[in-house]
Amino acid sequence: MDMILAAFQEVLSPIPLIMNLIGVMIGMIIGALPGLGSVVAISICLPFTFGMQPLQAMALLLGVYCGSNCGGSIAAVLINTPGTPQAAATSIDGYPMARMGKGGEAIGWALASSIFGGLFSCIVLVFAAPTVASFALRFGPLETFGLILMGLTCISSVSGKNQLKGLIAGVLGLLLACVGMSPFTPDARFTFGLYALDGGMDTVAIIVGVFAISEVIDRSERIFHEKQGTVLNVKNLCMPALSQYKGRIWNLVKSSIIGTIVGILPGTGATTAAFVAYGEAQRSSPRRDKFGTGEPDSIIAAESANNAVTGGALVPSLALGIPGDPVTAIMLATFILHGITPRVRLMVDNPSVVYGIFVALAVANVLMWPCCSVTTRIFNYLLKTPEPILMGLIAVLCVLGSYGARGNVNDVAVTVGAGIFAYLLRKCGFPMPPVVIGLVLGQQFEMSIGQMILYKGDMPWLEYILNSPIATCLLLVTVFIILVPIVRRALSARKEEKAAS
Amino acid sequence: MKTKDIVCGLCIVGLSALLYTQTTSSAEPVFADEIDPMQYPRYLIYLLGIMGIALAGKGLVASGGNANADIPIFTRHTVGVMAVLVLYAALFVTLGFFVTSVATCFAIALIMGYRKLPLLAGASLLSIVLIWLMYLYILRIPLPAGSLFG
Repeated sequence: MDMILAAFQEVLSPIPLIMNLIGVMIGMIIGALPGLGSVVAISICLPFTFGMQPLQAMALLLGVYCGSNCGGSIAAVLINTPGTPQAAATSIDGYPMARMGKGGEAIGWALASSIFGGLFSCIVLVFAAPTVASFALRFGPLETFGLILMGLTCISSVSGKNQLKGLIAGVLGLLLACVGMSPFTPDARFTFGLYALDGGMDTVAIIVGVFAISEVIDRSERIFHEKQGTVLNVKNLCMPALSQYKGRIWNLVKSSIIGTIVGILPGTGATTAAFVAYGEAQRSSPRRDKFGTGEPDSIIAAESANNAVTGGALVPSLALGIPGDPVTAIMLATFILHGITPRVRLMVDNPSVVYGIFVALAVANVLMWPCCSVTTRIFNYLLKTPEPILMGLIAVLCVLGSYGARGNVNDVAVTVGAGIFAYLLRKCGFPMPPVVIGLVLGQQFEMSIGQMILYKGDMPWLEYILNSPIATCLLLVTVFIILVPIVRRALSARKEEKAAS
Repeated sequence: MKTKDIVCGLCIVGLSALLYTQTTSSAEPVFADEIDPMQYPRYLIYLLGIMGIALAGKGLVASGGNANADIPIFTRHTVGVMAVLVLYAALFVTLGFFVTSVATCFAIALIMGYRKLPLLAGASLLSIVLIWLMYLYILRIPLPAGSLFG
């Protein structure tokens, strides 16, 4: 406890606190720009940390990490363009809320959930880092397969009444993830002879195209059919009152737990967490019928889960030296640069640094509130721009964002192509979120299947699955998630039949 | 009968067939324990094809016809914006970021019915300059200058 108090004292001293604040603000603004996510934000700030004290550097980078995760949701809510891939699930209900004139409330729900998720994962980190790190080591290909499969089941929940079209969109997403080199052999797939596609298509470029470019094309005609004054207007960030959480607390806690666990597992990430939590909320929420039309429950699930990942992802990074994703890999490199070598004994040998990191992360989460308020005001000015000019700017920003993420000019073509394809699918009634879910989870899904086949050897499938209690549980939960809506629908149909007769 | 679903279903089947042709050229696995790189995508393509047939079939048996009187897919505005975006992507490197971005911003707003041309030109130019400055000096991401700017 003394260690934690000492860490608070250090982190709340002026310079680390200012670094943390600057980090959150930079992260939030860059996160809100379509296509530029946490990796770009942290990479930009990295050179500035070389001359800093370790704690100051950590405070800056952790601030950027948290801020960029939350910033993506502002653009997702206000212009239906997820600033980061993990905010894609937020736009499903955030944007409809904004179009109903509740943009400030939607951002408020997203922010409050992000803060809760982030703080929740910090607490888990403080008390259980070494234990949960060893748990993460028990996750092999079969367990990862179970988890990804669970994430894929939410394709059904985001498809609404168009189940068949939703499934088709999901499979299209999975196929898009196959473009480029096979993860197991040096074979290029679906490249149509274009060498530019050998390295695959960038996920960010496709997501920006699917959500933002298709929206610009759609608005170009819709603007002539709608009454004036439909342009979004967000006066202020509107945080939800405690009374509004009635019946939503369990969703918040459960999604934070999902986010923390997914964050701990190497190679998964915030986008997987957001969609797994979204799917679970859609299954269990009493307001599940309103999902997709502007229901805060879905924002709560997606945002608390994707921000809980920040704390969770630091567990294997600090305790085992295993980075879970590119962001934690950069953070890990920064730790080493500042003389902090992540390993199992780090908590024992250097507790002041570890607790300093945990506390800086917690403080960064709290600082998101004022920073989000400022960013929302900036966006409010942007939204006052006449819609045709705004749409032109969004198109340019999206194309630049997809180019800037990797500096690859092919990504520009991918964004525009994905946007046009997504527009055609949208107009034919295909929901877009399943495409993104398939795309994001596709590569990990294929990888885990291949690894499973290689690891299993000659062992029968049932024996292989039953050998792992974690995988068995995950697969049973997945079956449960698939069966519950089917049984529920059958029961309600029978009820209706009885009532009619 | 729902014509849109039938057409969509048939397009999906056609897409599956096209994608399937891409999976037939691969060499067989060299090692005994090597995984066939086309096996997983092939299963996905089968699934896509089956669902395409199901969608077309569903459209055939569905009653009520095409009830939706929604905005058509291709109008002069949507096609115009698509053409502008395709040109933007095609000329992004050749003409450079600055010229193409200003022109795209201007053209999209024009297609969407904005007619205050001096204001539009000023807003497009100013915002692109601001974006360019942000990318160059804050984000430190170089943008293509294009042949016009060397």
